[in-house]
Amino acid sequence: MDPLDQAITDIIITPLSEFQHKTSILDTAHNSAVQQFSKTVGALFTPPAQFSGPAADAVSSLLSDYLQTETHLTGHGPSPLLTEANDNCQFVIKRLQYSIDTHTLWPSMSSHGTQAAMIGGGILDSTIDWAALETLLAEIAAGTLGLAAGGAIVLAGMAAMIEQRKMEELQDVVSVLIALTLAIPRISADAALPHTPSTVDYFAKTPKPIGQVPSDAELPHDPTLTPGQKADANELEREFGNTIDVSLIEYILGIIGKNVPRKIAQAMVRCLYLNGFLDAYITTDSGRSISTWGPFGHLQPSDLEGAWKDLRDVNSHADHLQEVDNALNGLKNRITYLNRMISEATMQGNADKVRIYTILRDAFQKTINTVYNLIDSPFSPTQWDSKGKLPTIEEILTNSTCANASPESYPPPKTGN
Amino acid sequence: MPQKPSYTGDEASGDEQIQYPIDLMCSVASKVLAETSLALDQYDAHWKQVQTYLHTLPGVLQGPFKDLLTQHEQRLRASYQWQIDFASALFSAIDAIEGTDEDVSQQFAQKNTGHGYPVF
Repeated sequence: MDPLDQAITDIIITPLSEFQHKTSILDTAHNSAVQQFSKTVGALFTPPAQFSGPAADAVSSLLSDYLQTETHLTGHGPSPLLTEANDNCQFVIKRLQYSIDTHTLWPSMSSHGTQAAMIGGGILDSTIDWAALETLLAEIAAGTLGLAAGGAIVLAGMAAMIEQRKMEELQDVVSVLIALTLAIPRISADAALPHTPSTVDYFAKTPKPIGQVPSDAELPHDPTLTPGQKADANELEREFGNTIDVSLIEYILGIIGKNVPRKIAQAMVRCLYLNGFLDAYITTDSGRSISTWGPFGHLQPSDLEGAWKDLRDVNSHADHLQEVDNALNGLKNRITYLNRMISEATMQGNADKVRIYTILRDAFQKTINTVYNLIDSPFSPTQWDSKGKLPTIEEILTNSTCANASPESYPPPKTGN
Repeated sequence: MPQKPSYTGDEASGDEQIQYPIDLMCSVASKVLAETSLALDQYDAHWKQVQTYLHTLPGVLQGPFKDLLTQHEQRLRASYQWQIDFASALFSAIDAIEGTDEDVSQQFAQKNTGHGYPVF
């Protein structure tokens, strides 16, 4: 192996290949602690001296939330966060190995007059300072990212001494490292813990007994819009060239329209559209297009209410649990595709797309967590603080800055006379 | 995962069995605290190993990876804290139950105050 390849292997590939092995001990320890905790608290509910009654129900429900969340986090191997980070590492390793394989030859020094200069310059002798190469890569990365200018000068100096082929390899290294530094912060955060236990929670609100929960839906299915808001939705649909389903626009207006004037709500929707958040389709592995927002039609408050009731054998007049479960699976699929789209956009250096896909992905993930928390809640749907409203749109608005959109910054298109 | 306690009576009529096994609750809370403390010590040792590993990464990668792993580490550490909070809440619940029992006991133990009838 030539010295540059060796350095890339020692300094970059080897440590990255150890990522999972070296970091998963945190997850393993966490999972052991959770399993032990589960066993210990399980004694509370073991006959004959078992804790029972409404307070025990609340405790049990809280424990179930906690154990479910934590088991999902580390109970099936490394956590999703570490897995995604490791996937990024493996991707980079493959890229570097490919680069090494396709730039196999160190320049034949006997045929180059530069050999003496390279040895004299400390680039290629046996005492070469590989740490300096590492620093150099960091400098180049910083320079390329606009943080410092020194890297480019060093790179130019090396370029004069190293054959073009190896320079390409070095440039590959730099670009891959930069891509990795951009990809790592984009990894989804771990799922949030359930609320912190406190005695106040147990006694402040008492779940309504199941027998008192009516089977008919009490929460709405379709967004409640004023005639003016309906007209706004139709106007926006036309404005977007009928590329966005009016039901999606109505869904968004139904959520944000309660808190802001109509013109601002319109500006927010326009901002979401113009920034690509309402793009209608995601492309799957097989090249098939699936509707980005399709699952949300099956996650309306009344659907969540029905799923909550199905879980507790209250007749909800339809298989809402299956409907919601299918919608959640749909969202999980979209997150998988969005993750890939984020990786691709990162590698292409398309920061705008990375930002949009990341915001969508994180909002979808938060939606999934919220749905699980609601349908597992000990409180009946009419007791839900959110009344079944999902956080998706507000998350996207906040993280995209479209929450600050105004009619001046996002005016309606001018119509010709 | 703990099973929800089953009711022996008819829920709709409110005839459900309510039990507060204080000794068991106390022993479970104590055990959780002891086990979590031990688990946290081990976890701290593992986190030090991960930090050592971080230093083997190329300098340019150390920042992003450190941020990511620190975020993950804090999330996992919060889970241990959750268990500690749970144990504390269980102790508080025990206090509340015992306090309520004591209050009710005193109400029934009161002698005739001269205002109307004695409790018994």
